[in-house]
Amino acid sequence: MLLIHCPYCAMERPEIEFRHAGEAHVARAPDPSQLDDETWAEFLYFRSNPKGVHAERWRHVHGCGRFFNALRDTVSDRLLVTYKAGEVRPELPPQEHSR
Amino acid sequence: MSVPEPISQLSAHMQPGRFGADGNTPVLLSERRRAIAQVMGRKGQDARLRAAIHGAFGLDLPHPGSSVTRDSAMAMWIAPETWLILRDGSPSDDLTRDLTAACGDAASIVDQTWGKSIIRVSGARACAVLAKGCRIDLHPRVFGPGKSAVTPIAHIHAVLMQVDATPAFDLIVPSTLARDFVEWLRLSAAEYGYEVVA
Repeated sequence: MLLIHCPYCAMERPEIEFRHAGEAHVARAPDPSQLDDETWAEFLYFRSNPKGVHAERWRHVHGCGRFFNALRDTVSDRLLVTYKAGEVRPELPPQEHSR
Repeated sequence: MSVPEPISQLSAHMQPGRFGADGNTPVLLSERRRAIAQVMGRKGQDARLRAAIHGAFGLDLPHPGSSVTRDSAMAMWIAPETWLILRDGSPSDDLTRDLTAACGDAASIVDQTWGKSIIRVSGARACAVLAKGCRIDLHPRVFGPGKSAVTPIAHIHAVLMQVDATPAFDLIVPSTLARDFVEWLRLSAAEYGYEVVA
């Protein structure tokens, strides 16, 4: 069982309380009607899918209900850090993602 | 006009008695009747809301994962800018009216007295009973009196709060699922022996 730190509850909580909600920091254009189809499709459908550290949205759906962001290593499935929605992506110390 | 006292949906399922295995230290189960209201602070009104609750109830709204008690009232953090306020008294208490008068437009108040049931589990084996359906670590090293958590227990959305070091826990569950929840508690407690108390 993974323990995930909810930045709102300030507690380590079991993974069954959480839902994954896709890649984080995907900004929606202020005026989508000005975009060409390719750029709009890029926003809607294409995600980075890296091997390694990935910024993701998670939701503490069975706890406080809030969305937050997490940096997760897609190789080890380790959640390296979680932070509140709206905060900038934190820098990781080098040893955290060198594996 | 007086309001008739509604009957608890649990009364038929929590008849007092001793059940399960024999033993000297049965787990105690009981239903607690308190008025419950949910208070959700509005944007930018945090300071006003805290002052209002402090003025009317003498409660300082607690941090995440904790609760505070003063006299017959208790406040418990359940989500960002959201708390449960519980107060002893008759179930048809006018808690929400008092809260609305105190908070004004600083918060939205929702009466949960009949939407929630409160079940108390206490005794030396209370943690062992809850561990069968709750993934929160309730060991005294980590948890303790005054701590609380919103978490699924036996697949039912519950608010869990430790009352004292017996240990005793209050579990707040949706009243429509309370009967199922009590059935699960009974099954979990049977191997230690349990007593339903009024």
